[in-house]
Amino acid sequence: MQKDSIKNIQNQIFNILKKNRSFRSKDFKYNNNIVEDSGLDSFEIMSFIIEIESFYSISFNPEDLLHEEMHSIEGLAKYIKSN
Amino acid sequence: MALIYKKLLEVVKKYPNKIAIIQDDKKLKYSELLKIINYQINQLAAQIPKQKKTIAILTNDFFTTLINVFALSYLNRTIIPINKGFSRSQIQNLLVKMRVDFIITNTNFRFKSTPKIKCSFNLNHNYKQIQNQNLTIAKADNFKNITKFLITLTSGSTGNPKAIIFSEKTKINRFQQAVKLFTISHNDVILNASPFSHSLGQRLTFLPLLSGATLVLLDKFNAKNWFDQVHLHKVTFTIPVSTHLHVLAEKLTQLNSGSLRLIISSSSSINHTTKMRLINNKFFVFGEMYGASEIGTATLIIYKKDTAEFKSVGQPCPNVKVKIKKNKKSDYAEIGEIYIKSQYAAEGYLVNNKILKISDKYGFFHTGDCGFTDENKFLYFSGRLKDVLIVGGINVFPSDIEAVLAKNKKIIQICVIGIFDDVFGDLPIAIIKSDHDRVKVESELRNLAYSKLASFQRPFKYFFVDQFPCLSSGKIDKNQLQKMFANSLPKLGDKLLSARDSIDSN
Repeated sequence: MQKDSIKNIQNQIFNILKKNRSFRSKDFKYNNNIVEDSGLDSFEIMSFIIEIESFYSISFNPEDLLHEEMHSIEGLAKYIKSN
Repeated sequence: MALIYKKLLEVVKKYPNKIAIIQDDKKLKYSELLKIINYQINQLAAQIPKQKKTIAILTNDFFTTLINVFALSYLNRTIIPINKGFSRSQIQNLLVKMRVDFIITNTNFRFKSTPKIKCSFNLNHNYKQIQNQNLTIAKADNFKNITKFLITLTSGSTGNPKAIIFSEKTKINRFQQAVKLFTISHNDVILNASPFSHSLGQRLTFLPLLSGATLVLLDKFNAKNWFDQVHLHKVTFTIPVSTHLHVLAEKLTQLNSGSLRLIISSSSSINHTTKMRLINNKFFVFGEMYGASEIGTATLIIYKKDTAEFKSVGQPCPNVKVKIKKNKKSDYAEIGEIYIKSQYAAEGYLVNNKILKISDKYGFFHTGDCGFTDENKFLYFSGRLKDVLIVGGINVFPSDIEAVLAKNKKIIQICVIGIFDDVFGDLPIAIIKSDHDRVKVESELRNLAYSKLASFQRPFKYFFVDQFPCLSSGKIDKNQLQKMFANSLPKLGDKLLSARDSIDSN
């Protein structure tokens, strides 16, 4: 995972995100808010977060999820890269 | 009484030289079997005082159990077969709770305050002495109103197994029902790989021996042994338990034994592809039945190539009524609890030495299962009532999720359970057995879930196990799985709720 560039991680996150049927992919940018703008329902958000944890073998600190920057693909990628 | 013994006597008179039992390469004729049973009747009559009525059997081999069951039928005693998988303390508790007077065993266990009779029979012994004797069998004790012939203890994963009472009449009725449903004749060779403590093991013992067919005993199940016995002894009919069927299924679809005519699955959730291959195989007929220890076989479906209702567990058997008790609050209008009224119902439950009815005042047994029926009375099984998950307020049936994910051919077995979350309620997780690369399988399953399941049905996590914990019946021990995976999900719910004002569970 260390070898993955931020761009690669962002693309991987986007690929996981877009598997959701309710994902509104049109015009969705990597700096958009996933919670507010992706169209995902609560279960999908929860499932998405857990899938990210499984995919990268990491564990989110629940407090971290409150930070606004964690709600975008860019922010998540940075967090994953630094962990 | 002694109905079971008398029925066997009729068979022995009709087919004295026919093979009754086969175990490995050892065979026993009906006349020889009867002599061993009669010998044991005398042994037990000499050791069990008249007032001692309740006898438990704990053995680690089937044949010893079988001899004692027929002997005790003659002696009009109540039999409690004890599952050898129970711990010593569980057995000790059961003996006290069930007020057992004697325990017949071939083990070296000692039991506080319950006298034991030690005996062991096996087919390797030639029993020449017994066979050459002209035995006069002891007179049976006559008890009034003997309704308790067999007491079957359910799996009891909670430590409190239910004790189900059967009269000999009910067992004979169930035997006759099975003969009709599966068209059993004395020409059949029936394989039994289930212990006698399980109601399926009882059925697969009485069915051959009371119809003059041949019983092939498989004390220790493994796939190779199973297939070897089927080929070697030209087995014609069997009912595998769900875990056995999972192990056998793939190879079964290509099995051309030349003899096997019918295999019945007892409502196990088998992989859809494998099921279709079993239905479409050229060598034997495949069927499914639905029922419970308390009521016997309630529905049956024998698949044909053009059977449209392959997702069903069949139509009600003769003398059986199926009713769906709908719950007005349910999200699924057509699904409700399955109620069964059957002429083959057990006599009741034994609780604190009292007999409690198994049915409601209208004669219906509440199965604790969910399902629905179609216009042609085909029953569709959705899952256990207690297994229904309430995900964000929505009822979710694990069997629906399992059915979708099981379409992936790399899965050997799958079980979906719910993990409780303070915010979302039950969150489904999938536990999988697969021989393939786990990362790839998980990815494929996630994609399948994304395309075929609603968001609230998708498992949040996928776990892989080498082996599922099982109950003695062969079913997956879901309570054990719950314990194993209770803390498997991160507590993210409240944090996500903080990030979003309200929960949207569309």
